[in-house]
Amino acid sequence: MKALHSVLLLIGLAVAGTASARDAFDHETHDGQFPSCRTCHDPGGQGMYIVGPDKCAECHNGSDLDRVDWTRPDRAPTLVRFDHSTHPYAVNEPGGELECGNCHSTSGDVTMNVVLPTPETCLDCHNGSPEPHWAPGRVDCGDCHMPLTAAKAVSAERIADFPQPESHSLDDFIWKHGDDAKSATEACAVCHARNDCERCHANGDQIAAIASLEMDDRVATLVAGREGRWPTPPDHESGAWWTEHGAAADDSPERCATCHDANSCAGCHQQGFARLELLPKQGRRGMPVLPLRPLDHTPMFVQEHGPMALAGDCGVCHDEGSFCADCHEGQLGGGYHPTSFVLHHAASAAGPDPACTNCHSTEVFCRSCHLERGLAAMTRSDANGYHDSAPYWLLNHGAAARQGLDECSSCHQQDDCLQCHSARSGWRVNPHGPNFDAMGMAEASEAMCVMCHPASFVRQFR
Amino acid sequence: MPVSQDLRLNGWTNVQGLSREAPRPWALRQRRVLAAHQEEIELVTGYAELDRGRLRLRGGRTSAHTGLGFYEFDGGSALLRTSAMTTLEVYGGRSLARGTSQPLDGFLLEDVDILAPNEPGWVVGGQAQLLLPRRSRVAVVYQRELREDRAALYEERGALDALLVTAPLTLDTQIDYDFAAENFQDVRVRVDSRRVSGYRASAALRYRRPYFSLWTIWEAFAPVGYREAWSSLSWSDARGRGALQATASYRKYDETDVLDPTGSVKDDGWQIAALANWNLHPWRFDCGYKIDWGFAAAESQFDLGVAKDFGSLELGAQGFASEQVREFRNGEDWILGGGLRGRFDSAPWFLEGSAGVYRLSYENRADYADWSQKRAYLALGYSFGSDPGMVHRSQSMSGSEKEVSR
Repeated sequence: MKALHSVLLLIGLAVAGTASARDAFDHETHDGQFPSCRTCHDPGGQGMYIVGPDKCAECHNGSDLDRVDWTRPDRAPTLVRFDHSTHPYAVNEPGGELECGNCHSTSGDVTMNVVLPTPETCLDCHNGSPEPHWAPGRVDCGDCHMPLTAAKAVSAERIADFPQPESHSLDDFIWKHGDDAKSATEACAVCHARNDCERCHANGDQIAAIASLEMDDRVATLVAGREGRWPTPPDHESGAWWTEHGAAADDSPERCATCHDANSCAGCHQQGFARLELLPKQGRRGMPVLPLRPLDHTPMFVQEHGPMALAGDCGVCHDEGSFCADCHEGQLGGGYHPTSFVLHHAASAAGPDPACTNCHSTEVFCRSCHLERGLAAMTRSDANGYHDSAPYWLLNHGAAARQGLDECSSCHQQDDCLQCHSARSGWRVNPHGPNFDAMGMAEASEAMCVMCHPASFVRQFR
Repeated sequence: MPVSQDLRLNGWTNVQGLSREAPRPWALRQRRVLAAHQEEIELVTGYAELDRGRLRLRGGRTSAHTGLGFYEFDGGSALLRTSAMTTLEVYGGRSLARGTSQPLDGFLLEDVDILAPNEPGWVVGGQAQLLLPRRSRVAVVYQRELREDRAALYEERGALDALLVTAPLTLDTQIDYDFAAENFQDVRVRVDSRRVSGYRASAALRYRRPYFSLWTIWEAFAPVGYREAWSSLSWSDARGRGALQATASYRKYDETDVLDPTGSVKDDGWQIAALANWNLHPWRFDCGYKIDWGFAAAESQFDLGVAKDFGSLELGAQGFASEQVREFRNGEDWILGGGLRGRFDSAPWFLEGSAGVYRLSYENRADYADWSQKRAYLALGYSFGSDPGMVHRSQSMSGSEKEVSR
């Protein structure tokens, strides 16, 4: 209903547009010359009209009175749909419901003190209040105004100059105008065409209030190239919105579609999602969305993003083909590990951080560096070597080896172990656990078995 | 002075969907740390991609990222978006040792292990994903790696990853199974609460057993896994101005069935960590502490960082202290370090770099001398288009659009 502001202001504009021409006629000079207004304005009872030069010439014929040069003023294009014939006027019938002077005289009498009525004149009867006639909810704009799309004579320039009602400038107007539009679509239609709404509403064709409006070429020229306005809804300000908007979209995709089209979502959701089908795809644009760093990307996220990454979520924002490789290509270790990591990675390698083997081959990648730094076992040895705090390490290393075999392999090559554990060249110390499936292992890789066992021995398991 | 130099180039054609994606295609390096890489020029990653409609094809030195981790290979992949909710991907090629750009029969393996395979391996795999409402999804992957002559199986594994998002909780499940060794390699269930008033609680249970490729003998040495319980409580400001997080975990290793006469090998471990960051634009502060105490190695670590955003220039400083103890080694290490870092953006150019000094001191290791290390990193970049790592379209957006999109 707030759109009534603009509607009723238009009355003033429309009326003012015609008043400048009509006021050129000097009604006061003709005071008392005619029995009624209708003598000139509705002589045949055919309806009110603006007097033309022929009517003047009935008196100003050059003999009775001097001729006059009078040109009938054109009707200015207007949105007002006022029709005298629908008003119960009684020009020459005192005591009738309305007289001309009720609207066209400052005194309200039937005089030649003619003025054009203002919107308030109409509302004296139509809502009986002296308040501004565009007050929300006071009147039905459609009673006096036609839709903009029907007022074809109104130029695009005039439309561009329509005054904006004060209500449209209120902070909450953009959040509430939808409800207003639903209850008073006619009022909106006085100033707006469908093109206006679809500047922002990507799903205009699915909103009844918008779909009921017509497109208008004049409005199209006015909105061409103008981006929509999409202020951030209050719930979008929540820190959790990034992670929770999916649920909201599931619950009410039509709400999303008020501002967003499928392209908005595709900015982040590269791989799409189920509800994407419900959003408008092409044609009208929706609000673009920039991918933002989700709030769950906390400082520790780099350590714990593995499960989420493995579930495939990264592809929503990141191109996994290149973004992940920046860190996970492993060889150069870009930004995944801090620059100091190589100095203190031992605990991480032995601990529960994301497994090194997700990206690295411990027996190649780790050992090649340890070898160069002199940390890897260089030769077969029965000394404690690196394990200098563990007495009799060779006798006690079994439990440690089974718990951290990937760490062992980052320094020791296979041949180190085969010195004792080989059944061919070593001391035949059995490294297999109690539930070792020799047959299954031989079936999977006989080549592995023959590293320690004679081929003839392995063949018995096949 | 060990120096590695990397060159990265990404290119796009004018043909829709056709691009050459070549992150770090040429790694020109003089790496005295890795003798095997010394002064080698090698292709780290380089592939051509056609991504059009439902189909994405890649070929070259590429990689697969699945529930089984990160695999690099020389070959190709095809991803078919069978519907808005499902994708199928198959990939295959000559496999590379993980974390290197070397085939399994390459010189790098020969240098580190006299029993390295003498035949290259070929990896093939397939992955299916089902996208569900509320970001929920399920992914299944199967992968097999064979010796080229098919005489041996190097790997046969599969993974199931499921993320179920409901209004109050998020359930994240990961199951990796080793078909060759017939055992579970990694099983994890994690539950995250909804963030309420900025707080979110998370808990996870995990079983993990080391995985070894069958070109090694290690799988036959009966490695054991551990069970872990993990929990986290985090808080973040509604506008992302700050975040706090505390985590704790405890892990217990399976029975090794090995006689340990001294009983000296720890069979459990725990970790406690707390991190905080605060963004008071243009300042940003980060600090964190972590203590990890368990089998094989322990560490107590503290980090502190501060950065200021000057617009196109960002400067920061970091400090770092760590104490390390190794279970089977005498003494302990102290590492103290600090450095500066910065980034300057002047589109389409950027310059970023960091420099730090670290001092490693030994305690109770009289035969080891303390030493220092300087580390520096410098990168110069020129962007021809959008960041290929981020699927955004900011380059096509007007200023007003950026304003309204937070």
